[in-house]
Amino acid sequence: MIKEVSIINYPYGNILSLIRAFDYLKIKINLIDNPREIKKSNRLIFPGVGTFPKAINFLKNNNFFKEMQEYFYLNKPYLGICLGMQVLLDNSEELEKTPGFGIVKGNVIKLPNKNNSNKIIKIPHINWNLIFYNKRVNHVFNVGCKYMYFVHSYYAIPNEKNDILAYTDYEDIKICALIKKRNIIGCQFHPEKSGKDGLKFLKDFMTL
Amino acid sequence: MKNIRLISRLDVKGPNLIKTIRFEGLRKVGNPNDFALKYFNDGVDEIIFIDIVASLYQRNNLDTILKNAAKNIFVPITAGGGIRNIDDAQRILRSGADKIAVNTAAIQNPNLIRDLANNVGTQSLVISIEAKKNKNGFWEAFINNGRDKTGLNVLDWAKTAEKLGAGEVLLTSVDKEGTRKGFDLDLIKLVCKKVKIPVVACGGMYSLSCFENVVKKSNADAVAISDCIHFNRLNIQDIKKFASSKNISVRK
Repeated sequence: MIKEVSIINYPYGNILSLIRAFDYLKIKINLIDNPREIKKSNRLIFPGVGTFPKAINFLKNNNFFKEMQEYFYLNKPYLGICLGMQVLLDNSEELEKTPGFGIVKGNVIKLPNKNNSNKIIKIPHINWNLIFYNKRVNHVFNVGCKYMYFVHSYYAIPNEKNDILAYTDYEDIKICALIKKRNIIGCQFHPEKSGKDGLKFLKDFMTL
Repeated sequence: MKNIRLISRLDVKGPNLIKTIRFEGLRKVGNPNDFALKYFNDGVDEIIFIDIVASLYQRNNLDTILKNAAKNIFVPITAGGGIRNIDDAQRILRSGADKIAVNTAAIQNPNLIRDLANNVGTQSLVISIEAKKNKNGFWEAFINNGRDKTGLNVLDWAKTAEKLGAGEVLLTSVDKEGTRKGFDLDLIKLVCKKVKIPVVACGGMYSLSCFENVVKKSNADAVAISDCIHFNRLNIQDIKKFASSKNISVRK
């Protein structure tokens, strides 16, 4: 298991919980303020919350974007949480159409306000939901089909089903919960907020 | 699938967990962090901390409690009480909360909701509504922890808050809070019909059948409880087992 994780110090939202989760797992944390540190890391996490354009602006204005592109090119393990997952796609329609990294082909769109049975769906999706794995791909996480905590209004629609490791179901809407392209991983749920199973998920990431 | 979230609500004053009845007659219960950890270990889905005097005295003691909670609690945490601006909100989030709950400052300046939503995101913004039925037959929104009336109709205010960017409603019945007399079902039903964001029902839970009633009759997305667990009359696991036996989906 890798003993140190690098976390991009995103100033918006709750980054402390993620830090405490790794403290709990006894894994050393390197909080990255200087984008140049990225190339030295072997496990990188971007725990974005808030809006898509704001996250992209932050990454670009502080020179993280380019360094992250290089990190992705080297195929070292990355975990994007929530918005940190969504930025891996081509574009998001949140507020205004904004390009992401385009590592995973597809777009990020708003959750539908009705399902196929015409039932009104509450948005944001704030719920604990079971994740289930895509049978077509090998799943690299040991943590099984467990309840994870979701809180989001937009969701990723990858073009390639093979990029999807796991889904969840919210009011009969199939939501992409976990994506993986080479060693680049994104989860829509918040493992740092998903109890003991979430902690296990983070530990799995360190042993990839 | 939608799972009904079971939330423990911890009202605090200074360093103490307290419990009130209709927001009055405050009793000290213990150390909020000890109780929160117990609820986490029992499998609670979420925790809400509300500083009940913060808005009145313009201060905020939540930071320390939140920082301690972040060390050993890995479920979502909502914090409220005395959040007046974006700086307060950011500070609370950086102390370990995932969502902030606002009431008083939002009613005094509704545009604060829009500013906060743009800044922290709708998904992190809870509008806390303290509702009390008045003589004219409608529910009125109260501020300063159930102390002061505003003249606002709760249903209109909930809709306005949703439009301005609130992502969730924490709906507390002032009439039922701490009374052990059951939820205000009519209130919760109406608010659930009015808004398309999740609604957390709060105030009055005393028994398992109360829980079944509020979930099945009102369409609430989550239930916040305090009195019945603080004083050990019910526990989280029993409520969840009971829910499953009544075909209510909950996280197991």
